Amino acid sequence: MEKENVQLIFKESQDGRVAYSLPKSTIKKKDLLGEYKRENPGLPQVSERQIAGHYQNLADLNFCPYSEMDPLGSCTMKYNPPLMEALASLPGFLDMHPYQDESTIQGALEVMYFLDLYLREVAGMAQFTLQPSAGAHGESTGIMIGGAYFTHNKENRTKILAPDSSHGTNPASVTNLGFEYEQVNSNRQGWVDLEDLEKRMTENVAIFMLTNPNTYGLFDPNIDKIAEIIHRKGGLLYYDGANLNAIMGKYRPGDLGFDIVHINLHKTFGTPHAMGGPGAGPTGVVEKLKDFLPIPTVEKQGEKYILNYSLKHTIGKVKAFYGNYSVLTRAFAYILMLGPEGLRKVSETAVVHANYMQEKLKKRGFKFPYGNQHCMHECVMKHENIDTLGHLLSEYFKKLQATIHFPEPNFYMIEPTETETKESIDEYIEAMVEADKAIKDPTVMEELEKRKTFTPIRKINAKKGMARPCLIEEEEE
Amino acid sequence: MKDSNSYISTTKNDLSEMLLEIGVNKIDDLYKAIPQKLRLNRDLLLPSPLKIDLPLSEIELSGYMHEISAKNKSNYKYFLGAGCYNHYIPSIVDLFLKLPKFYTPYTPYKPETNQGTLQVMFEYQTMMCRLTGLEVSNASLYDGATAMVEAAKMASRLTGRNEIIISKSIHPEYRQVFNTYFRYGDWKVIEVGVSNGKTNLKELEQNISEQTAAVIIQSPNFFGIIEDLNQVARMAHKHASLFISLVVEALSLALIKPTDFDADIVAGEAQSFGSHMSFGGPHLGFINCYSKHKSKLPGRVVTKTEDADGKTAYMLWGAAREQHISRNRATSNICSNHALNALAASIYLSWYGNKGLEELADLYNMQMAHYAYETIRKINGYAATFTGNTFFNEFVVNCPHDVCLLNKKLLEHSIVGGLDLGRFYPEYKNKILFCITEKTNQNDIDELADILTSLNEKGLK
Repeated sequence: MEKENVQLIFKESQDGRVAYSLPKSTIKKKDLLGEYKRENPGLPQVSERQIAGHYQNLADLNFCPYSEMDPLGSCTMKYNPPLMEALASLPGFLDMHPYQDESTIQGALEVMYFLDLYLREVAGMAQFTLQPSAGAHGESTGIMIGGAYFTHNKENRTKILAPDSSHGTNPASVTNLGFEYEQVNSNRQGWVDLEDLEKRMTENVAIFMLTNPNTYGLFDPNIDKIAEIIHRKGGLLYYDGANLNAIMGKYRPGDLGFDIVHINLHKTFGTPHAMGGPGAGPTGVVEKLKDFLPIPTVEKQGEKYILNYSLKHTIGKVKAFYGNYSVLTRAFAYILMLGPEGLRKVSETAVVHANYMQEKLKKRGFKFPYGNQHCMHECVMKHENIDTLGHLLSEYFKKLQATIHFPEPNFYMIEPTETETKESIDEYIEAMVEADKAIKDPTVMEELEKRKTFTPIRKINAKKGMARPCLIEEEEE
Repeated sequence: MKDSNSYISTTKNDLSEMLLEIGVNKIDDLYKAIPQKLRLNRDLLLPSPLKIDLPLSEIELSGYMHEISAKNKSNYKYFLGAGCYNHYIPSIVDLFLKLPKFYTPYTPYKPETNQGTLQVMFEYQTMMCRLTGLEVSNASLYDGATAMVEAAKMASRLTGRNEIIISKSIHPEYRQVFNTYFRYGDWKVIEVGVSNGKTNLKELEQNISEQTAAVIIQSPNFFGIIEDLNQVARMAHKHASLFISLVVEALSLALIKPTDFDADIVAGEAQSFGSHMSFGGPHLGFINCYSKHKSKLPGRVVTKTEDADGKTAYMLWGAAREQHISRNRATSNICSNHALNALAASIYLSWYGNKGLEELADLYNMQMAHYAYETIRKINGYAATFTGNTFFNEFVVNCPHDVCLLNKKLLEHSIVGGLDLGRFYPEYKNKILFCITEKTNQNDIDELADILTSLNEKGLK
C-alpha cells in the first residue's frame, strides 16, 4: 500500500524546473542590500504542469459540498451559486485599491451602501458596519461597541453573559477583550433558565449574548422576558447571527429586543466557506449605538457615495481598510437574486427540511432529547456512539459528518439547509439507519467493513498527532 | 419567468409530503413558538438599486453587476501601495481558487474528509516558515492588522506582561486597529516616534523595560524603509521582551529574513502572495513563531500524522488552544480564517519558486523602485524626504503641489498616484509615498516622470 495520497510539493522539486515567467529586465542591477540579503528560502522548484497536477490531486482528496449534502449543524453549508463567484471576480471589483480616488470606486461603494440597507431590514437594526471578517470578529466588534457605549455613559460594567449552550466563540470573544465571562444555565427545554438569568443579570453586566434559535435549534419563546430582564438592568442584548438562516422574513432580532447583531454572510447569504474562510461578519446596532460603529461607514451624499470617517463616538477600526469586500459583493448579489420572497423561502424551506429530518429519524428510532418541540433550521440527536456513527457515514456511505458533541457531549447537530433535495435528505437518513445498525450488531459491522471505503485515509491517529506535532516539513540538507 | 428562489430544489409536492411527515398543515405551524406580536407579518422591504423590483433574474443581475463594476475604474497604472500591493497574479492561482472542492468545504475539523485542505495548509505553513525562518505558522488569520493584535496578545501571554511598544512607522490603519482593541482590558500601549523615516531607536530604548511584553516594528516600514532590526532585537532581548517583526509587504521576505535579525515572532500580511487587492480584502494575515511558543499561538495549525493503517495523514493540531474546545480560556476567538487566501499563497509561491521569488522581489520591485526614486527625485520639487536609508519597493518624496490635486491630475492620464502621506501624518503634508511593483515597468516610470515634469511647467489648473 502507498504511504501517502499525494506527495508533498517539496518532494517534487528539481533544480532547473520553473513555472514563472517575467519580462526581460531593463535596468542595471545594483547591490542594494549587502549583508542584509538572506540565503535561499527553500521554496519548491517545480513546473507549472506539476503545480496543476499537485493541487488538482489535493482537491480530489476533499469531500465536496457540491456533490454531498453537508449537514454541519450551526454552519449553514448551503449551495454556493457560481454566479456570485463570477460576479465577484469581475476586474472592476477584484483589482481595485482601497485608497483609490472616491470618484473611481463608486460601484464598490454602491454595493456596500445597499448591502448595509438590506442587512438593516433583515435584522431590524439601524445601521451595520461591514468591516468584520468573520462571525467571531463581529462578536469582538459588537462587544467593543457595547463597552464603548457604557464607558461613554460613565458606567463600569465588566461582565458579559452567555448561555452554557452558546457557540465557543462567545465566551472566547468576551475574555479576549478583557471582560469577565459568566455562564447562564439552560433549562430542561433547552431554553434560557430565566431564574438563573435574573440572578446573574446585575448592574455590572454589560451584555447578554444569545442566539435565537439557539444551538439546540430551538426558538426560545421567552425572548421578550429575556429582553426585559436585560434592559431593566440597563444591559445590552447581543444577537449571535450564526442561526439567522431560520428566520429571514419571519421575525427580526431588532423587533425581539436585540441591540447588536452580527450576521455570518458565509452562512446565511450563500458565500462560500472556502475551507474555513474568508467569510464576513457585518455587525448591526440599534439607533443609540450608531455613533459607536467602526469607521468608515458608507453614506450617500446627493448622487455620490462617500466613505464617512466622522462618527462621533467611533470605536476606531477593527480591520485595515473596509472589510472582506469580495465576500460582501457575493452576498449583495445573492440578495438581489432572491429578493424578499426568496429570502423568506430560504428560511421556511430550511425549517421544513430540519423538521422533516427530525421527525423521520425519530420514527426510525433515533433519540432527540428536545424532539417534543418543532425545531427551527437544525435539530439535535443524541447517540452513545456518535464518533463511530459519524465516521462510518463518511467512510462507507460517502456522507459528510454533521456537528458532533455540540451543544452537549454525544450530540449530533444536523442542519440540512434549504438548498438540499428531498432525495439527498432521505438518502442521508437511510445511511444513518444503516450505520446505526452496524454499531448495534457486530455481524452487520463485519459486512460493512468489507465494503469499499470512500475516505482517502482510514481513521486518523489523533493521539499521535496531538502528542507528536509535526507542523512543517523540515528542509533536506 | 423568474422564481423567487432558483437555488431551492424542494417542489410544492416535496413540501406537502414533508409537512405530512412532520404532522403539520402549513409551514407557519412550525414557527408557533414565536409570539405573534414579535413576528414580521409583512414582506421585507428591500429597495432595488435598479428600476426593476427584486428578485432579479441571472441575466438582469449579471448585467447590473457588470455595469457597476465598470463604474470602478481599475485599468490604471498603480503607483500606490501603502499596505495593499498591486502584484501580478498568475492565472493558475485564480483557476484553483475556483475549484468547488477548494472553495466550498468547511473548516477541516474532520480529517478523513478534508485531507486536501489539510495538506494545502501544511505546505503553506512550511513555505511561510522557510520564508520567515521560524518553526511554526498558523494556517492564516483575517489580515495583517488583526494579526498584529493577536501577536501582541500572544506575546503578553508568553511573558506575563501587559505593556506593548509599537512604532509610529507602522501602517497607520494597523495602529488604529491596534489601539481599538487594546482599549479593552488592562494594557499599556506606548507609541515610539519616527526620525528620518525610521523608528527613533533612542526613544525606543528609553521606553523598553521589565514591563514590556513586546516591541513591534514593521519592516519595510510604512515609508518603505528597512528598519535597524538588529538593534531593535538587542534592545528588546535585554529586558527579556519579545521582538515581533511585522511584515506588511510579504514579498520583501524573499530578500530579508526576519530571523537573521533575531525576531521572536513574525506577524503580518501576505496579500502580496497571490491575493487580489480586492478593495482592501479579503487578504491574508499570518503569525509565525518558534516551537517553544506554539501553545500560545492563535488560529488553526495543521500537523502531519498517520491514519490507523500508518499512512501519512494530516489533521488540526492543538485544538485545546481554540474557542470551540476551551471557550473562555482559548488563546483567541478565531473561528473562520482566510484559508482560501493561504491556498492562493501556496500556489503563488510554488509558481515563483526559490529563484523566481528572489528575482521578482529584487529586479522588478526593489531595483525598479530605486530607479523610480532616482528618476523622480531629480524633478524639480520632488526631493527625497528621508535620506540615507535602504528601502524596498516604496519611497517617500516631497511634492511641490497639493498631493490630492496632483493625483486628480494623474488620474486623467490613467495613473493612480502615490499616497498622500498627510492623510495619516499631518507632519508630512505634501509628501508622497510611491510604490513600484512588477506591474509598473521602466516605461511607466519614465512616463510618470514626464507627466510630473510637464505639470511643473503647466501647473495643476
